[in-house]
Amino acid sequence: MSTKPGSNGDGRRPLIVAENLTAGYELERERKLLTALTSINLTVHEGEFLVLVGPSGCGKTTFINVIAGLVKPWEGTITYDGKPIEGTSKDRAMVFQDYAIMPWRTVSQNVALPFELRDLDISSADKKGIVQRTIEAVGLQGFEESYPHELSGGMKQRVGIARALVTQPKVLLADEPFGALDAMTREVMQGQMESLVMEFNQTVVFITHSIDEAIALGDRIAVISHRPGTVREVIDVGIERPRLAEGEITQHPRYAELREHLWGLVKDEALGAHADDRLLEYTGTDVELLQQHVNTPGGGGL
Amino acid sequence: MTQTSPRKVDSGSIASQPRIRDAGWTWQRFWTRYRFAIITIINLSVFFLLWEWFARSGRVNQLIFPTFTDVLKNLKIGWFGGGNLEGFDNKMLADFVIAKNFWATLKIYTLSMLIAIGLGIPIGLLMGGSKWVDALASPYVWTLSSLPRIAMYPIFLMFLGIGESIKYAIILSTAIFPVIINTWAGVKTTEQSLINAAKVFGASKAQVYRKVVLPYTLPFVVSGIQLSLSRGLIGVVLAEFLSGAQFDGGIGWLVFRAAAAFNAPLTYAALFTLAVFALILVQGTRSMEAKIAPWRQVTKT
Repeated sequence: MSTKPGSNGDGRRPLIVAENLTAGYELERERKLLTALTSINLTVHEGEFLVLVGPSGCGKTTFINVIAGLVKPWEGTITYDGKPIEGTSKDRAMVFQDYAIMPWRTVSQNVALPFELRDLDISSADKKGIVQRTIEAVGLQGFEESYPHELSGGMKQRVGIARALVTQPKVLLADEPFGALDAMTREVMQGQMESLVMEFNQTVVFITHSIDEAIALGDRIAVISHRPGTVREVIDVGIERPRLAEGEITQHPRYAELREHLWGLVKDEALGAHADDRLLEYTGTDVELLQQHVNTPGGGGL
Repeated sequence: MTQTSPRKVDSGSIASQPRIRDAGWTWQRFWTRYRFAIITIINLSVFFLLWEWFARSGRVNQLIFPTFTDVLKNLKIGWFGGGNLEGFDNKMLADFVIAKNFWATLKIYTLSMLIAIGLGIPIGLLMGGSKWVDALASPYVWTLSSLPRIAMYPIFLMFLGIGESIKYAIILSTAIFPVIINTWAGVKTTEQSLINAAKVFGASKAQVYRKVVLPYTLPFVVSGIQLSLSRGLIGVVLAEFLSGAQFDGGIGWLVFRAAAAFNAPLTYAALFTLAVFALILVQGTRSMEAKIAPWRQVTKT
């Protein structure tokens, strides 16, 4: 069931390649450097839906931040389309677990934000049309002038998704986007995510805690070990799409087998992470060496 | 991302009614809607009637506790003229005494508040945005903001002498720190995920500041201003108590002077003017906060 990273992808072009990647962040108060993930080798292919599962604190978010260009790697390389990732790019957009939409902006102002921040060669009339179509695509028509505090959690995340898709990025990065939603909304959003991905053949890197969500959405699933995180296994899901629109994916013969296998892997890691929490052991012993690699402007705040 | 589910909800029976309808008039709704106003009117009427009765009952010396009607009379003369006031030797001085002093207070208060806000916001923004400015300025800001400002009066007096400028100094020194500290706190607590989102979508450092930090900080600035308006009011009355020897010494001076002349009705009338002014100020800034940051109002409740 497991494959070497990069071996799958139906001959599709590798888009994001991480080689021997180590990264982390600085705990300012404790004056410690925390290695969040280490020796990651992983390839994301064009048009692929890659899901990362793993226990909390395993560095999934750091990995997705490295891909986004928010965090610089300490060691190893990360490339996008053959070129090293050195900062954020219009090719890679992100959806956040806590939505991260601006409370002082209306829905359409939030969705239009990427157009304000990047100078794309699009006329303002075209931008308006694109914003409106994207809002309709995520099912928020009629709420263009609403403020986020007037929306439900699911609707807020639709704003987050619309904002990410409005510039038609090559890669959609999603950091536990449905983690804060209730179970019913979550299922609806998963179904809509799938039809969206099928429609646009969107490349997605998707983080989740949920094994069921991973199987429902992913072409491949990378299981990340507890901290410092590394890739334990990459699994091909191999269930044809659409999986969620009609019928129950849980009835699929492969589902139970996949679930059991994944649960076995994740359970170990979750227990390991728990033990780690109690020890609170930081790797990153050679603090001074690592210090040279830390890049605060990308990761830190202002 | 449209729903692809083949199942359709039969909503015909529900949809036949419009979603928003007129609720109609009932006593119940009338009461729910206006009860605050009704209760307040009754409450205040009872309060002033009791006051009047207590002052007339002879249980208390009217020299220190005047009747409410006397206060109203003084309020009228003080604002609109047309009568003699006890403790003021001539009619010329008594007429419009509250109005004259109120305008004097309002002028000095408005000017020094504008200075406090105009200086406080940029200082707070700089302290929040730059670690260097923060490190350099914070010992002074935190010390001065915790020091009871009245303790600095002798120093102000040495430098500025008695006059207008010492009033500005006292008001400014009481009012500026809430603005600085609140602005600073707003910048410092800007949500990291909002900053990250802006960065992902291509924001430069300046854009992060303009599009995220400043709007996020705005409601903090408003509560800072709110706080500093009431601090400044303390400052202005204090300054007038201490330095207002001239006749347009301000409403604080008038309270002091009228009490010294044993004119209780005028003391209360001046105080009443001050109370109404303070109330309007606070309510005004509250509604300003609601307009500027509606999302915060909702998360509060």
